[in-house]
Amino acid sequence: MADSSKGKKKKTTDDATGGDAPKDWNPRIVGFLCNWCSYTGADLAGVSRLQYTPEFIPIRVMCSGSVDVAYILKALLEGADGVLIGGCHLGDCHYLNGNYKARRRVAVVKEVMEGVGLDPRRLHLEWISASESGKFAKTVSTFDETLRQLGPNPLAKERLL
Amino acid sequence: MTTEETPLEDNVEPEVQEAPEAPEAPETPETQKRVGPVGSALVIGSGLAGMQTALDMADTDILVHVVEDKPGIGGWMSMLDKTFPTNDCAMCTLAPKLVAVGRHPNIVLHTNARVTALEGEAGEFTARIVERPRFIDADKCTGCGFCGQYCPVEAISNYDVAMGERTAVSVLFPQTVPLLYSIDRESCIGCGLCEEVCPAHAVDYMQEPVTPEVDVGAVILAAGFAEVPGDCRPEYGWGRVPNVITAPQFERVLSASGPYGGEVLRASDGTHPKKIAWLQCVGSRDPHHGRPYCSSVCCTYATKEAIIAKEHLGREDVDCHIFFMDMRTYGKAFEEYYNRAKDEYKVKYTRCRIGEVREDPATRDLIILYEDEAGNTRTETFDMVVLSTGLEPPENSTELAETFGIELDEMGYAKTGVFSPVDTTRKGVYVCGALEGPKDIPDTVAQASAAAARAEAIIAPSRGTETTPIELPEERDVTVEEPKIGVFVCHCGINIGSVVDVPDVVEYAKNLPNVVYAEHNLYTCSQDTQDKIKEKVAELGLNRVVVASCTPRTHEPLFQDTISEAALNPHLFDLASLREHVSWVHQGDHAAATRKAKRLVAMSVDKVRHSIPVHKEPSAVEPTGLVLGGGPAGIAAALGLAEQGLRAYLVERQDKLGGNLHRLPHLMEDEDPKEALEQMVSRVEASENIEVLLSSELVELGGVIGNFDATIRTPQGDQTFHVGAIIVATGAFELEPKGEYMFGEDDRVMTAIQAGEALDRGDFPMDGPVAFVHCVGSRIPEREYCSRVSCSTAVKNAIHTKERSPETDVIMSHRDLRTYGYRELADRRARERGIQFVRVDNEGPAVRTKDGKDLMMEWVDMIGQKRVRRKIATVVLAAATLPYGDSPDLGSILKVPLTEHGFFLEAHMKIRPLDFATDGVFLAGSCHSPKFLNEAIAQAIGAASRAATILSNPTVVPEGLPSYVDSARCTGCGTCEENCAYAAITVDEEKGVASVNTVLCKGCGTCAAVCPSGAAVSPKFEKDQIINMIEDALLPARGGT
Repeated sequence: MADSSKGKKKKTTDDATGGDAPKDWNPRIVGFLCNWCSYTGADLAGVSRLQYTPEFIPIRVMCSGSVDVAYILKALLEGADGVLIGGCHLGDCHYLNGNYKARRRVAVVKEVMEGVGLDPRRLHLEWISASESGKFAKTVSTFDETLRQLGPNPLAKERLL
Repeated sequence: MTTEETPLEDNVEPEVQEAPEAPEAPETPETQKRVGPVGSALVIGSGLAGMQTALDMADTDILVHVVEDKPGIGGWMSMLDKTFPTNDCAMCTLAPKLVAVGRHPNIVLHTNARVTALEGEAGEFTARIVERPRFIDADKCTGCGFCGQYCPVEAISNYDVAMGERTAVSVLFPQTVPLLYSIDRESCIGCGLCEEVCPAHAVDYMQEPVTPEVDVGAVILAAGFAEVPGDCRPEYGWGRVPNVITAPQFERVLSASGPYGGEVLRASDGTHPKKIAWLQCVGSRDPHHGRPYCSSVCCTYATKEAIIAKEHLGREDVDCHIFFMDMRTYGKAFEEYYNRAKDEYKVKYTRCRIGEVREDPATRDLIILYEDEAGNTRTETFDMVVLSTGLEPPENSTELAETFGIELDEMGYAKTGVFSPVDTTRKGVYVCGALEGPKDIPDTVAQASAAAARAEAIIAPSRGTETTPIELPEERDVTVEEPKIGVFVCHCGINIGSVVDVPDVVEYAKNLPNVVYAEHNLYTCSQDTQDKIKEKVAELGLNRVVVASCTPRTHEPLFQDTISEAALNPHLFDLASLREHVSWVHQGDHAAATRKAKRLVAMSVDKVRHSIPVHKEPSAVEPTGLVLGGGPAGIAAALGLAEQGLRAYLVERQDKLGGNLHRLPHLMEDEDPKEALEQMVSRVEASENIEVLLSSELVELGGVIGNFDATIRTPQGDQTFHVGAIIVATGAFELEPKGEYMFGEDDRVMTAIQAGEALDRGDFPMDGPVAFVHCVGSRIPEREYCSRVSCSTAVKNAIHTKERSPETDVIMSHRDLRTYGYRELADRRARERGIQFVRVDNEGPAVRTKDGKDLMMEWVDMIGQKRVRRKIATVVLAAATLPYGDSPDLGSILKVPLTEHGFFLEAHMKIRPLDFATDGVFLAGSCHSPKFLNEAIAQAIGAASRAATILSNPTVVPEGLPSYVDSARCTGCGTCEENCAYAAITVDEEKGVASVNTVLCKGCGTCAAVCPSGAAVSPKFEKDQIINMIEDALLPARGGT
């Protein structure tokens, strides 16, 4: 992982346009966190003083199933380098099955992303329970690492779509 | 202020203040005889215990008189900086309670007051109260603080534990309630300055005491505790040597509102200490000084203080060292906390006995003399020493006992029983919190709710007879107004302010669209800021409010209540989390943290700009509770409901009630558990309000708070019950450590419960040495937590063994002996009886057989630092307490979370230990974490009180904001209907339009996400709002910051 942060690694997708990162570039992440599990887990990460990138911006939603496709695309079009969706573990959704809907939706959006030449890894879905503060912080940090490998979102510069 | 000066852009007509009409003289109540008990209660003390018990009762329509000796409420917790094991800021968790008590229409505060007499009996007490003069007219004082600024007196501040100063006219602490100044006549020099400067003319030197008499149905004593004085061990130098301070003093040092503003300094020279030592058990476990019991909280609070000191001074820049006898981190998540302190924060722990503390007169450093575990005398030098002083009964406990006619135990705490943990010796008088014995915050809250339930059992028939309905001002119609937003940014002591540049965020907020006002506060959640918010709403005509402070999960309701009182719809509000999501998680990068804080504030401002009023319809409550688990906790919870006249279903998986209590033939205390269980069961059977469902379990749950539909699988098939609240008390069980210590292979190796049963039957083998092995399956890497009860259970069984067979050698092999509280006395009793205590390493002893015959035990004796091998006749394993394996399934059905170890996870570890985050679902007993009977029963009765706050009210407003469908946009495609998990949306085929059933809708927002025409709307999470927030979140990408 150490050399990857330099952003010089050859990309495998069309997204390689984002490769040459400015020196002080840090990936910007928009996170949609469900109120009952992931947002609570994120709160607990705060209580536990777990540190992660300040370029992660949380948006609290009631359920991962309420995350509209439009939100994901909007964030990417506005130049987010990555979008994280956090939901309750499958079977634990506060609203019975919202997270299944989120999972399906994310799969569809990933296909769309691939179609327009955006690396689908820029969209990440994770199940984080209310007690998994460590998992929350780790998820953000790992995602941050992945985005460093991918380099800046090409849409951030050109607003192609 | 005159109308000309009104700073509003568009002139709002100032409301003409009409002289209030003289209220009509109430008709003199005819000499009506009261039927039933008095519908009010009396609470003595207003710390966390007093506040919680008062709030619980007040929420069930009982009028509560709270009597507080001090001039303001808040108690000890308000003085703490942080709380273990979450490091939550104490003021932040407490302030909402302070505000809730202060504003509750059913709570009457009598501050600066004491009760001098209690007459009558349960149901019909009369209490005489003496309210000492404050020499400030409470009706006139606005809490502006002018008087304090001009007062020339410098007196010692007790609030800062004698470390800071206060004036003669002062307020207890800035967030207290009521925010009224008072003059301390002992330090007042009578100069008259305060009287001259007071703009409200509130100073009244001639004020006389007031002596109201109140009639109450029940009394709850929550008078708290006192701190053992630091000089109880003169050899440690406190009082003589400036750099030796007590733990409460260190809390003030750490606190942002403390004498040094949160900077850790040593008293002698104001420098940052580089080495700090904590000395444990000062005034605890000390029979020579009359305090033989363990104070229960000091080990964990010292750990906390060490961690926070490291956070304040820098982990590498200060050495924190705790000198202790046994590390008693027994509570939920405490052991993990202790391990984190050791491993991550590098706090050092040394097991030893302290001789004395000497001061080096040249440097004022402190030299600690101690004897380490191996018996070597050592010395070490520190910059600062903190004495972990214990708890003792409050100074006036004897007087209190006499006034209220209750008995104290031999230690001076209120006497209670294992099965009646909050009942005093006088009927109708209950106790909670540390007045009942040293305890931590969650145990205090549990007892406080329990005491409320016990009082309600008496008062319930007269609910609503003494109270007046809550009246909120009529909501202002703001839909036609331009948004006018007020932004309040919180420093949160130093929690936010030390990382985020709060004034900079305020300046930034002022320039955001539609923001007409922005300010910063030390604690935005305090009562004075609530008043400020209301004032600003009225003064500037604000119609939206943003608070930037902590998580909306805990604090949003508080601010929503505030703006409701200011005639705004509560949903014209948003909270930006600058603490959990910024300052606590980006401690190292202040610039980036401030930048993120600005973005979050901009997002919240944008969100409220597009907010519209939302109205939630209350729904009728089914006044019946569902209790899951028929062990002692479940039984106590069901009885707690039934005694208030509420119905309960008590569901038990086994074919009889009683749970683990059947396997507990004796207790450490004198009470007989078999008899107690029989009594409990017969009370359940005799109750008309309880229906018991044996061999049954919950399989499905629908509905919301007030109206759940619970499907129970019974031997007669599945049945659905309509209930208003649910209490989970499903318990835990003792690990059977198969394959370890020859358990399961050799009958001479048994668990603690098996040993207790064998002792009871009389066939416990005592013909040779008996060894008790501690921490079997607990405090190990795979199961980090401490099982809390196992040390004391081992001590109990060991004493029984020794009593039955004094010549038997009894060996106690332990890592830390965690006999906290009064259990320490049993530990002492065990030692006096000749039980041999050996401290072993973390590996514990090894048990094997020799030639398939003799049991051999081998261990490393830490005290003598040698390997010991011995033939043992019987080995008793203090095995771990485990949560049931199907708890996750139950968690899924109830939609409530579990801890990583599989216990249920409450809404807040500190101040909401009985509530789940899901409204209307509560928990009690060992399914929360391992605990003793008295603790489980207190939690269970407390959970009944929490449930009663819902069940005793005719209506409830369900959680979640129901979605709605904009019929103009709806095409009737039915996508929402297909996607709704609750069948809450249906399409009217004729009209071709969908509509939402607001009773069924839980507000998840899925319909809005799938609606192709944007007709389905999830209030507060509207599409436009989220889209704007996304733009704000990424704003710097375009403008660059």
